[in-house]
Amino acid sequence: MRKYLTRKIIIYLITFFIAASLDWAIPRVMPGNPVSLIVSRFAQASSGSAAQASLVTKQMFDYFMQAFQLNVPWWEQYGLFWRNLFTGNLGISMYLYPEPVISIIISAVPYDILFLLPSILLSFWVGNRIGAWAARNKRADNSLLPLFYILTSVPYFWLGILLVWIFGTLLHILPMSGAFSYSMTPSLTLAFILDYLKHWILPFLSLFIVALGGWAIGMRNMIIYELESNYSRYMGSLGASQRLIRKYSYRNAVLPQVTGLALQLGTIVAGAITTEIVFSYPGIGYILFEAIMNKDYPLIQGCFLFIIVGVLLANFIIDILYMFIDPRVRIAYTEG
Amino acid sequence: MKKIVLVAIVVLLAASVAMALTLPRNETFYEGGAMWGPLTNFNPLNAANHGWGVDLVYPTLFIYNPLTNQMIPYLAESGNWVDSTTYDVKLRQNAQWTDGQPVTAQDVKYTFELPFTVSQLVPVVGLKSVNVINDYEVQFVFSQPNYPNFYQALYGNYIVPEHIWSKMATSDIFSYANLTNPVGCGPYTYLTSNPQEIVLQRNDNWFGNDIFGKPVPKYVAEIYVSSNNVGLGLLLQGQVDMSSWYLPGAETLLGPYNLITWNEKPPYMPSNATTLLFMNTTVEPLNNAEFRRALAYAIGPISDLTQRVYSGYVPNYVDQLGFLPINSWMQFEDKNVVSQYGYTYDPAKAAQMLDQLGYKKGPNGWRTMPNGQPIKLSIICPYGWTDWMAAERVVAEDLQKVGLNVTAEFPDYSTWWNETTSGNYTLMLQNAGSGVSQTPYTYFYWLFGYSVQQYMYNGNYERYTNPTVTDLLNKIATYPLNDTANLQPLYSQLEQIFLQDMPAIPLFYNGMWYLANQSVWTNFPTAKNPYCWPSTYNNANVTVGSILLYTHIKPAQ
Repeated sequence: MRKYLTRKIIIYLITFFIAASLDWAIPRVMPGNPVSLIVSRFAQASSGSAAQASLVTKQMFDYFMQAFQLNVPWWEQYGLFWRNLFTGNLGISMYLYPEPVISIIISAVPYDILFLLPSILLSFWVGNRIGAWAARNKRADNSLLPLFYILTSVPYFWLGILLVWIFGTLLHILPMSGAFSYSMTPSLTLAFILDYLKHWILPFLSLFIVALGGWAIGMRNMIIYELESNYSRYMGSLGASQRLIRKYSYRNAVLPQVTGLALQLGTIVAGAITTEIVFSYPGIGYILFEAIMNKDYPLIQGCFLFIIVGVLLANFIIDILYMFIDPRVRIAYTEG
Repeated sequence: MKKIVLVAIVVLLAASVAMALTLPRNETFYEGGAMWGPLTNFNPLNAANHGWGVDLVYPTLFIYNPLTNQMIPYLAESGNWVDSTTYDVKLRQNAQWTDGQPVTAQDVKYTFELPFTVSQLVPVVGLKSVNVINDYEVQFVFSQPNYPNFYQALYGNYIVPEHIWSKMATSDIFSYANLTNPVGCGPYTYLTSNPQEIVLQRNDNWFGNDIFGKPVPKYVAEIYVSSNNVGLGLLLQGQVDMSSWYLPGAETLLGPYNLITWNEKPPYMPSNATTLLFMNTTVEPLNNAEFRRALAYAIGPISDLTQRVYSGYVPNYVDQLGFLPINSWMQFEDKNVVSQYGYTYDPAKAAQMLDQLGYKKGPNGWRTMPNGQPIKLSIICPYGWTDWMAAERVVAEDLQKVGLNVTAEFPDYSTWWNETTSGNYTLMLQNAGSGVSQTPYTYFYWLFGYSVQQYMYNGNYERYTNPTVTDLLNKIATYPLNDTANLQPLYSQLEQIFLQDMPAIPLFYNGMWYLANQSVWTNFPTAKNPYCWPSTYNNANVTVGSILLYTHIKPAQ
């Protein structure tokens, strides 16, 4: 048990180190200087003041280069990045200057988690159930399988637009955008929570439906395979009930699905970003998009760091979960 | 378990009674198009970077109305020149900051003298000092005033309360976000902001109530969305009352959705800025003025460009000088100069000019330099600016038709900006400094006023150097804006040089994108009811006059 966990933790730490380093490096290899962008926004001078304006822009350029620690060699910047990371300092956003990155992320992350977690977990659970059911029901299989194939290949944002069009524009029953009504301010009130839930349905559905198809297909194939396997036949010949056989095959079939979940997390998070843009949802998706467009190094780093930590954490939880659902792993590490 | 649920419900109900702030629809004016991210900066001294709403919270001395070309006294009661270097301003005596302190001459002096100590702020050109005469009178003393610059400051610089800002360290003033309880004295106060919107609440104690009338909506909310499509949906559903987003297709929207815009027929929207094709005059063959003029003939002031790109939103021509069709600019356009040195849409002539200049077609069909070197040009504009991208393709086609190897490229915004400022481009679309203003000087200054250096942030992206132009601009600045007799000859010369040297080619007008839904509010500004410029944001400080929007609109019955 301890051996398993130590090994996993070491692997995760190495992964985090590499991912965070890439996170630091990638914005910096993009062409262009972010400070020249921010200076241009701040230094718009009025007509007639060229001499003063150029003096001010020069000073401002130096000021921001220093403020964002971009005036030192790259290896020093890299060192500062890690030092700041360990002191919990993610820096100040350039695009949303002078807001600290951490407070931008903190105000956005709740919206992400509240619609990502349910859509990932529910799509996994429901998808596997439907897939398992379809595997032993010929008629359901014939009609559902093509549907699943369509769903799983649909881009998230496209489905989002479709849902907005149907439920928002045509039927007028659900709001088209935002995480809450524009007449509301976020507060812990019943009215706000109900309003929030109403706005949550469509973004949730667009992630849920697409992911559902993939899980269902995977599960259907696995169950068919497991039902045809030797242990199932053996159980059948021993006179075990269909119900019992299905129970066992489900347990076996769900293992690769859980592995798949760990692998899929990254894709789902990426999908969430496009979904958020379609729904103008105030999560980190849109902020990250704008940060990239504006070469906002600190904000890009902060958003990706959140994603990296989130995905690694989820993977870690799945790894632990694996010990409980797969006795072979547990035994290998406890008795090995 | 049941108990927990019960307790939770009771707590929620209690909380909902206690702290629910819901904006009543019939008292809230929703608008969009001015913000593209959450509000993080409400500092009125960050002229170019503060968020939406600063103009409704902090006052300026005057308001400029581009429709009538008038300066309307706002915090100032009156202003006049005492002598050639002293400008006297009398302030309104009933203005109060929202913390109860009176607005006095001291605040005006403090604000205008701040740039002398805060190095990131740009001072008014030639200003020596601001002298307090009494509590409600100040005098601006100049060594030599730059009239356009000073007038821009009169209607553009927000006055801040000295008793609050002077407590801050000088080094913090510029980077201060000003998001906790900002104290202003405008028609609205800052109420709240969240990841979707900014909300302002009416200041019932506003000094302008007796002068301009009381603002009608109790709340004004600026919404930000991630894409224009979302904005369009909200406008059509009546969740947003007034839009400054660029939303194509007005002709199909106006009737069925109870929408309104400036004009009932094309061109639907007033022209708000001119987009020009900048040519980098430091690279071959664009350093040749005749070559640049040939390009102007290939594109032309009346081509199908505006039709194909904006279909009816803006006029189907552009002024050859790039002047906006507003009185303050057009009064200085010299028709003789334009007819004598101007250009037309004439690709045949463009081709002929290029032939004569020696840019003959090579074996692959593209023109080459006289020495046979290939010419390769590319136009850049930011990716995602769909209207500009469409225009850029049209321009590239126009130039290809006369045998020039021109490609249309769409780098992301930051790359485009970087290449624009560093001069690492050949052709580029830009409109930043061509907006509505009180004098065409602002436009020419943006085009020519900044001397060439490593990075060009504020203008002269074409990197054009001409001592005569600098001299003309300096002279223009020394005459009051209405001194037509002295100004006209100077402008005529400037216009002639512009048309002869053609460092940039006017392409099309950018409209003041404006659509309003009349289901909750009515009496929106239109060409027939032109009480203010139809903008929801301060628009380079010109349309602080959108204050008039809130005093004029009426609730729909």
